[in-house]
Order: sequence, then C-alpha cells, then structure tokens
Amino acid sequence: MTRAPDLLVFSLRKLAGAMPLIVGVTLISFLLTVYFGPDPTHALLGKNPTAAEVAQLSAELGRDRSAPAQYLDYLRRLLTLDLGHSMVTGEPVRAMLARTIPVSLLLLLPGFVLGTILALVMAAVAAWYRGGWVDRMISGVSVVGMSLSFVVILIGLQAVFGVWLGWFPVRGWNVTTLPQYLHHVAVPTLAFIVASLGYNTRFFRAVLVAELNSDQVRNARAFGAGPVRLMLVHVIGNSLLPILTRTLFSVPLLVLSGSLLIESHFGIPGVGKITFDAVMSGDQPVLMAVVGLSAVLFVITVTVTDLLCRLVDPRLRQE
Amino acid sequence: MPETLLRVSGLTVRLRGNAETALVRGVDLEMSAGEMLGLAGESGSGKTLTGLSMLGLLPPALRLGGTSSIRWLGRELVGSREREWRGLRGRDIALIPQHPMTALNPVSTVGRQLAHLLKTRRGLDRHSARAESIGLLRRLAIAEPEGLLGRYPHELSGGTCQRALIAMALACRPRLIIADEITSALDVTTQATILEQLTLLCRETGTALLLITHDLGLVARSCDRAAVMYCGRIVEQAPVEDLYARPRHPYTAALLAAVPVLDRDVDRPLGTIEGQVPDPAALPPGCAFAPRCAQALARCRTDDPGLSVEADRGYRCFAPLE
Amino acid sequence: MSTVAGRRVLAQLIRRPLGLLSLGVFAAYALIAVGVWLGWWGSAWFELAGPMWAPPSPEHWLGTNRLGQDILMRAVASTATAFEIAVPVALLSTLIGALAGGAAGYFSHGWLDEFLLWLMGTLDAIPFYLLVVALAFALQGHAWTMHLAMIAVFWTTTARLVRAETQRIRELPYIDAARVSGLAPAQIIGRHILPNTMAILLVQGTLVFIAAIKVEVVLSFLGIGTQDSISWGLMIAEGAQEILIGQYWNFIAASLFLFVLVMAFNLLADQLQDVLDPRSLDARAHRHA
Repeated sequence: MTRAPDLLVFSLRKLAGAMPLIVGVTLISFLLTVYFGPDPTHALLGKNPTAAEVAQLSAELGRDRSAPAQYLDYLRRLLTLDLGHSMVTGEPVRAMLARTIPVSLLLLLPGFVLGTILALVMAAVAAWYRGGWVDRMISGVSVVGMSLSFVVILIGLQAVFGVWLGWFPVRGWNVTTLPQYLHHVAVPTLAFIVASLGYNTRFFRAVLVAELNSDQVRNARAFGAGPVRLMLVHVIGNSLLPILTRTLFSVPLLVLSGSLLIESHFGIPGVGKITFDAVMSGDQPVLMAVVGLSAVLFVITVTVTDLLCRLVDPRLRQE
Repeated sequence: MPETLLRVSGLTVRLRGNAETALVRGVDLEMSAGEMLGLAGESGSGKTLTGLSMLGLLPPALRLGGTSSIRWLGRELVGSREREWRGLRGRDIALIPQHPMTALNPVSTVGRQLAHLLKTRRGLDRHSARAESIGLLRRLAIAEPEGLLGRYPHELSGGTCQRALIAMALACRPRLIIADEITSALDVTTQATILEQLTLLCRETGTALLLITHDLGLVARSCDRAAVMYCGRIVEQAPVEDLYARPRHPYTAALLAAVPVLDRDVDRPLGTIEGQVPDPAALPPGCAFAPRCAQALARCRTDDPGLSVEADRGYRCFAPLE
Repeated sequence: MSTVAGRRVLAQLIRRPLGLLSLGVFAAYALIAVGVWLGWWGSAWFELAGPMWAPPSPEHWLGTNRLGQDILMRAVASTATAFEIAVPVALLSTLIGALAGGAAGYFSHGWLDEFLLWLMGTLDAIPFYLLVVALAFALQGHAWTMHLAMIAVFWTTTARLVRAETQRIRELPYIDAARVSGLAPAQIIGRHILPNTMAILLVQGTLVFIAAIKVEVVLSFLGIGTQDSISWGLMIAEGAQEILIGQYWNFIAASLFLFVLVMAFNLLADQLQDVLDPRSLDARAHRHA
C-alpha cells in the first residue's frame, strides 16, 4: 500500500521530472509574449516620445537586456508571483486573477462534472448493449455531437433557451445569490454536456467495450455477477486509468480554452475574458501571467493524475 | 442410482448470421451428482464452447442451434433469461477458467474477491468469510494463506492464481464445476498437483467435475468417464478404464497413442495424427475424421456414422477397433 | 503505400454505405470549393445583391443578411476558405508529424528523440486556444498566423503515433537488411518506414482536417481568425449577434455547411480506420469480430 512518506517522495520526484516541461512551457510563453511580442514601449509612451524617454522605459521594462537575462527575470517573477500590473487598467495582475479565476471555476465546473458523468453513463449503457440498437443510437448521437462546433452548440442553446424561450439570460454575469447563479450557469453547462456527449461518450465507450471483452469480466459473469456489479466493479473499476487520465488532462484545456470562448461571448468576467482582452489590447503582463500559470496548472494536473492512477491501480504501485 | 444433474442433448453452436457453419454439432452429454467426466479433444474441437454453453456464456458472435437442450435438474435452460442463468452461475455451476493470470479482477485482492463470493453466496459475515477463505486456500496447499489474501493478482504466479480461482469455485459450494483447460497454462509439476487437489476436493464434497482438456492422460488420472470430441461432435464416450483398455474409435486410439506414458518403454515413439483438423466451415461429408483415418472405409467418406451404443459406452464409427 | 494499395482502400471505402456517403459529401464540398476558386460561383459574395434581411426566396435561397448580401453565396464562398485553411494545415502537420515521428522513433532514446519528446510535451502542455491566442499576439495579424498556430499544435499527435509505429517497424528483420545493405537512416526512414505508417497518416490527416475547420470557426468567432475574407466562423460570429434580433439564417446556413462537412469527415475517418485496421479499438470494431 502507499504510505504517506512514499507519496511525498513520489510527488517530489514527479515534480522534479516535470522540470524540463516547466522550462519548455515558460520558454515558449516568454518567446511569444515578451521576446517576439509587440514592443509595449511605444504603446505606453503615446505619440512622439523622445529618445531619452524610450531608453528610460526600455530599461524599466528590462527590454534593453539580453534575452536569457530577460527570460530568467520572467521566471523569477512567475515563481515569486510578482506578476506586475495590467498595462491597460493598471490593476495588479494578481488581483485580476484572484477576481476572475473563481468566476471561471463556478462557470465551468458544473458542466465539466455533469458532462463527464453523463458521458460515462451513456458510454456504459452503449457498451453494455454493444452492437444493439441502443448502442447504435448512442453512437450516432455521439458522432453528431462530435461534428457540432462548440461555438454552434453555444449559440444554438443561447438562441433556444435565451432568445426564443427566454428562460435564461442571454449574456452577462450578475450573480450574488444561488438562484441567480443557476440561472446564469445553465446555458454554458448545457453546452458542455452536449460537447462532452460527443467526444467523451465515444472514448469511454471504446474503453469500456475493450474491458467488457476481457477475461476477468467473463470470469466474473461465470461467477454470477449481475450487470451493476459487473459494470461498476469489474469494468469501470478496471478502466479508471484511461478515464481518469483523459478527464483530468482535459481540465487545464477546459479552464482556459472553454472559458476563453464562453466568457468572451457571454461577456462574463472570468479569466478567459481578461486573457482575450489582453490579446486584443496587447496587455503583456496579463498574458504572461496566464500562460505561465497554465503551465503550472498542467504540471499539477500531471502529478495529481499520476497519484490517482497509482491509487486506483495496484499494478502501478510496484517500483 | 445418483441423481442426474445435467442432461445436454442435441447441443449445437453456430456462428450468428451463418446457418451453415456449426462449431458444436449435436452433443449429447449427461452428468450425475458427484461424477467426474473428462471432455477431451484438440483445440477447436468445440469442447470449451460445450462447457461455456452450460453456463449460458457463449461469446456474442455465437448462438445455440435450434435442437439444443440443456436441462439442469430437469429444468430446461435453453432460452432462459439472463437472470435465470445468473442464478445458476457461481451457485449451482462454477467455472474454473483457462487463463488464470487474467481471470481475476486485477484491481482487487484475492481476499476481497473470495470474501465477496462467501458473503453473497453463502451469507457468511466478514470474520467467518476470512476464516473460510484461509481454510480453503490451506486445503489447496497454499503455504501462507493469510498473506495471499492481501495480495493482488499481478503479484502471484500462474499456479497460485489458479489455486485462488479453484478456491473461488469451491467457495460457492456448487454441485458442478466446469474446469476449462485449467492446467494448460502451468508447468508440468504444478499441473499434476493442482489437478490432484481439485479432484480430491471434489470427491470429498461430492461435487461433480467436468474436466475439459486436450490431454487424455489427465482424464485417465482423475475421471470416471471420458468423452472424446472431434470437430464439434462427441465421437466416443466410455468409462475411463474401458476407453483406455479398448478404444473403439480410431481417433480415440490416435489420441491415446499421443499420450506419453512414463512407466512404459521410453523408446516407444509417440504417436502423431497425420493431416489437419478440418475447417468447421468446410467439413468433409461423412465422418469428419475420415480424411485422417487409417481405417476409413469408402462409406466413411459419404455417410455420417450414427451413434453405436454398447453396454455403458458409445461411439460414432463404421469401422470400430476391436 | 503504393497506388495499388491506395486503390484497394478506396474500393473498400466505396463498398461501405457510410464510406460512399462520406466520400460523396466530401467530393461535393471539394467541387464547391474548386468552383469558387475558378470563379464559377460564390466570388461575388460581398456584393449587395438584394434588400436587407430578405427571407428565403427563389432569388436568395437562404435569404440576405443585414447588408443585403446573399447568405447562400457567402456560405458557398466560405467553403473555399475552409479548404484553404484545412488542406495546407492537414498536409503540413501530417508531413511534419511523419518526419519528426519517424526520426524520433528511429533514433529513439537518442538526443533527437529526447528533444522532440520534450518539444511535443511542451506544446501539448499549453492549452490549445491559449497557444493560438499567444501566437496571434506575437505575430499580430500576419496572414498565416492561424495556419501556423494550428500546425504547431496538430503535428504532435501524428508524431507520437508515427514514433511508436516506427519503433515497432525498426525491429523488423527487413530493416536490418536495409541497414546492412548500406542505406542511410534518412533513406531507411523515408523508403522503408514511413510508407508503412500510411494508415496512421491517412487517418490522422482526416482528423486534422476536421480539427482545422472547427478551429477556424472558433478563432474567427473570437475575431482572431480569418481576416479580409468570408468564412463560416465569421458568419457564425455575425449570426450570434443577429440571433438577438431574431435573424437566424446567417447562423443556420453557416452551421449547416460546417456540420455536414465535419460529420462526413468524422464518418470518413471511422470508415478509414475500419478499412485500414480491422483490429482497431474503434466504435464498430466488435460488429465485425
């Protein structure tokens, strides 16, 4: 069994193993946002600055130094969470993130959780009746789901529930109470569920079907296991690795890609919205912070996934 | 006269959506309480499918043919719902599967898998389930049963996995155990001891055993009666002593000649059977063994030999050996 | 893959109802795109052809937009845009993925492999749209920004698959024979290994094609995609605003054009997978088992 010190050693070793990845991601984010990024000097100084002014600001921004020195400085600021101020609003980037990340999580989490669970249930039903009409129907629905663009799903649902039926708000994020929250989160959640029913159902189904055809499942049936126990204990219990890996790895992608789309479309003040605004206005510090933190989020996800996988599968616990 | 547990008649297994090809072709079989029957044949002869049919566990691509009847204690099982089958599996009939290393649930310990069966099939509580598990494993000559209970399948050898599976089968206290090639994945010494332990335990508990194997030698050592299958059909069935002393079907004789016998003359060459097992999709007319049979008559290649019954044995052959 | 094998795959695809259907749909779209390039139709998508917000009629089958432009014509012209993006992206990212995967697999555990694995891991670690957005930021409206961003991200999956397959093929006897006969690694990879990964490349190519079309829509919707032209993404972006005032045709037309093409390609990828690798763990595998 895994004991606590083992767990700590394992986590630390994982994090150490992720160092090249952290260097890689931060390097790319540095190159894209700072090195090749537009020079903010002129944007900050306005029209017709003097040469002295330009030189002074360049020095302040650190742009007069060598690229490696700038990169190291970038790393230091990420590590110490010294993220600077927005060039557009002057607000500290840390405060902006603290304000927007909770909004994004509240917005995305219900759809993510419900979508994953529903996809798993549908996949389990399809896999159980594999080859039958129920399976063909679910597989058909999932191909349709896969073929719908997320944007189309989002706008389609907005049109039906927001404009046509008028049940849910069309845009904005005016949330202080629970009913208001449920009201605003409904359409994004539905959109996530529809999208998840496409790709996830298909993936989960393939995984479950493979396990259903395994020896140990046939043997469990020979010992008289019923459908519920068979599916939960023997099939899903042994498919947790791919299911967990896929689900958890989609978290960083979802948090940023999903929120970018939904928030910019619905005008919701989450982390996706400030990222989008930062791109549009050339707000370098905000973009740097978001890209850098997404790398950290990815590394955390990888570590957590590995830990969970070891927890659910005894075969991975062997050294 | 012991009670008849299982009566299989006209058992036919076909490919779904293909009425021509039959993998099992009209098998008749009877097992009484406490009886040990060996079902022998080469791979592809349909012996495993015959065993799986008795549990309603045919792979989805296969189906039973219309003539098939499987009666358990007089009750017809063919056409039963999945629920009825489930009431039988792991209760009245238990299966010991072919590949021990992959048959246990990899993410659960041996102890938990055994305890689950003891709790649900026998109504034992946690403590007595543990005690019973330890007792079962000890009787299968596991040196340290307590330690084994906490182990996961991937940590065990094939022989130990197989013993755990036998313990699981016995834990259900079934009336019939179907053992499907249980020793083919193991080394020779383990094979012998495991089979010996299994038969001993079956005899002690009065459990009937259907031993499915390609090795007639194993059948000789442990069974009362033997049935030999070839191309989906039982070609000869007899009490073990009779079958060995005086095989009537040439195929049985050929199989027996292929069994190495230790206490005989070591120089005796092992027999081999010329030719190939025919493809079930293209069986020859007449006796399926005729193309490989030294005794074959002209008739064997055109007509299907019916069952000849002789005292307590039967065979399908136009030119039986004397 | 030789042309003979290619013809066999095509023949098998056509024999399957879904394969034939999806190929037919693809051919129809390709024809529409070619027609736009040759100026047969759709080239006047920007012309004000009628009154504003005209409902569907014999002159304007799908009605007109807020400027009075013909919606069907815009959707048709957008088909060409979609191909202009998806074809180069699919070709280039498959090519890069094949070369990188072949090299990494052939020299596996060497420095080149380690470097490529690190690069793939890094690119996969950055949330996709964030990377695209960051690239768009760095390149500031360059015409090829979108292509570049997609290729930068899409080659990694192909490369990983090809790498694994190359590692497998490398151990086969005929590669030893090629090595003994004095062929350089580049020749072995190019002549003996990559042709045998054609099944992977073909399926990956179709999947990237779908992804590119879908991503264009998202990026154009966000306003950082197609510029100075017309695309389904731009139409959907307009449609998203117009829906609020009850005008649905822009949105419906673009969504339908998009959906049918992507759906056909998804089915095509499925059928291809079935034809090329009957053992694959795919949705319908068991039905043939």
